[in-house]
Amino acid sequence: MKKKKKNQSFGKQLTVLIVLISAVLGFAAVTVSYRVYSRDITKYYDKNGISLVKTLASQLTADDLDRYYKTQDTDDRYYEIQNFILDLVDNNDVEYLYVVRPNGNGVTFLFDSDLRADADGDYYAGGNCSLGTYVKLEGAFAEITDQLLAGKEVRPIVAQDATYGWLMTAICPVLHKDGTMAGYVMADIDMNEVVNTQHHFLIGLSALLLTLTVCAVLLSLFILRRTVVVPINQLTHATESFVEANRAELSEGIARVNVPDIRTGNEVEKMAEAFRKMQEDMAAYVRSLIDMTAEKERIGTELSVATKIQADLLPRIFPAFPDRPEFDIYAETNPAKEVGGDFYDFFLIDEDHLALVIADVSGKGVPAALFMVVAKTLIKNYAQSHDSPADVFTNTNAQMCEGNDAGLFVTAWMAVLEISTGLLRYVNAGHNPPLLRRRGGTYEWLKSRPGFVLAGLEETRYRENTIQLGIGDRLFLYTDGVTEATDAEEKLFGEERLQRNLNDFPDDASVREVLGGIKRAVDAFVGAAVQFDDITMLGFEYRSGQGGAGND
Amino acid sequence: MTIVKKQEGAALTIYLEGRLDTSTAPQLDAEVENLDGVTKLVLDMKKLVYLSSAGLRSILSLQKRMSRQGSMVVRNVCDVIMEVFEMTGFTDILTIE
Repeated sequence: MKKKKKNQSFGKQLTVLIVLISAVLGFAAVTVSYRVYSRDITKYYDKNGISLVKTLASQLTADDLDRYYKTQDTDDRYYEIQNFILDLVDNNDVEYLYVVRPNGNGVTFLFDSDLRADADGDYYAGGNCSLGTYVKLEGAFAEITDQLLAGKEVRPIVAQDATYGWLMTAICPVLHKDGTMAGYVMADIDMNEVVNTQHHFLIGLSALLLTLTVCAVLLSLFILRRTVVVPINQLTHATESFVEANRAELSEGIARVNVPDIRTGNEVEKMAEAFRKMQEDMAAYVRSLIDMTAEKERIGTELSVATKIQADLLPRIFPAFPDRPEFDIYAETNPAKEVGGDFYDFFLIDEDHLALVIADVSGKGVPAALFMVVAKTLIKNYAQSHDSPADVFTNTNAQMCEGNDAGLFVTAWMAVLEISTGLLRYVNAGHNPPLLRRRGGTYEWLKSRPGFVLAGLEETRYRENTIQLGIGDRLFLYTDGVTEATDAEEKLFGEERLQRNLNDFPDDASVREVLGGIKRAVDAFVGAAVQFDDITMLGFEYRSGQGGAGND
Repeated sequence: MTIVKKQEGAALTIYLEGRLDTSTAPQLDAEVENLDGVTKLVLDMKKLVYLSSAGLRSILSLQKRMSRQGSMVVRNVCDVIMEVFEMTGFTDILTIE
């Protein structure tokens, strides 16, 4: 069974708590004060009764009592005493006041406050206890018969009597000179009256406590409301609505703190300060996030522009030389990042000389891309000045070494073909050698002793090699992004796999088809792994030494 | 990769283990940032399994610095890495033992 959690308000909880505490404290207070009060009030009546009987006893002489007991005749003295008794009863909280003479198992009444005078001054007996009435002792009185007969002092007796009600009887002996008992003065005090007084006290006390409790609850609630509940509700509202109300401002980085100024001087004020700080921090954080995002977007935009510029630097329209049927070229590059360090290039130096370049800048990204632009420009410039390939690299290297504090370098391979004769002069600056396929044969590496990388050491001089191309011969230039493409298990695509793939193509597959096929093979090999390096390839086929347009 | 340096007076031997490529080359650059007083630097490549162009760049920069203040030797080069050195022409500028 799921217990439903009630969301009780602070005020309700506190009220319950205060009421509970008040109830416990009130109960304790009422109990203690009632006990003390009861004891005191009983004592008071007790004392009152005793002093009353003592007063009367002091007015009586043992002789009087002996005489009335024996003669049972009333005289003037008797009525004097009787009037005195009536005075006492009228002026004190006492039900009955009477004088008895214990004898045998009972007492003989000598005086009784029930005997009153009427308007004419004649006395009449209100009760049945006129002089000489004998009453048998019962209950608590029967138990003290011996003491009464001996004239002992007796503690007041509280007894429930069917006829006279709940009474407390105060008792005082009247003694002969020799110490023997002459009689007893007794006063009955109505205990109901005592209890009533006590009940009144109890009700009054309870009412007072209840009033105080209600006041305490109201005061606590008032203070709680002012210093806790209202501020917390304000905080809750401010926090709940901060993002909602500030959505636009937040996204513009101008969000304002909405925590109200809370001055309660307690923990709630501290909490409000903490909330304020949190909102300020949040707004500041969002602001910096917005700035950062804007900066990132700006960089992203610039990078995509850079990607475009870099791509535009390379000849990308194929067929590149539609009016030159003597040869076919296709090339492509796939940067690992937005901009790459690889590049290829091909251009006619003059009508009879075609330059082919492939290169790879160490490193990747923007620094490599910048370096690549320099390398490409220098190589093309020197080549177009009809420098030999070796001189192109020697001069380019010398230029690039100047101020190359970043320590970047370029591996490059370049060839210049004399179109009319098929003579190919090439130079290698630390680059992967290309593969050459003689007509009808297979792709083999065109190995040569490489020179040092470009921009590595100033004094490097490059040597060139020469081979003769025949009709139908093909060249495949690539960067190490191809052979070092890595699959998920960290295996390299490798040179052997490249060579095998190249040789798997039919002889009549176009240069473009071959490059596309190799790229697909590399992609399939890499699979889900991330492309780590730029992948660049250039394919070339020598078709004839004769210019097509004029000699066809 | 793991780089262990062992200095004996003015001679410093650096043992390279693992792959020296774009992601680990900065680690080597940081380790050799201060080469004050080193006149003989030995790069031990016995446990180096891969070397990329970024690694070559770090080695080239080390070679350039050591040419100014002493000498640098590369030793225990395995076949795969030797091929890289040969292909890039680094065999011409490095002293390989």
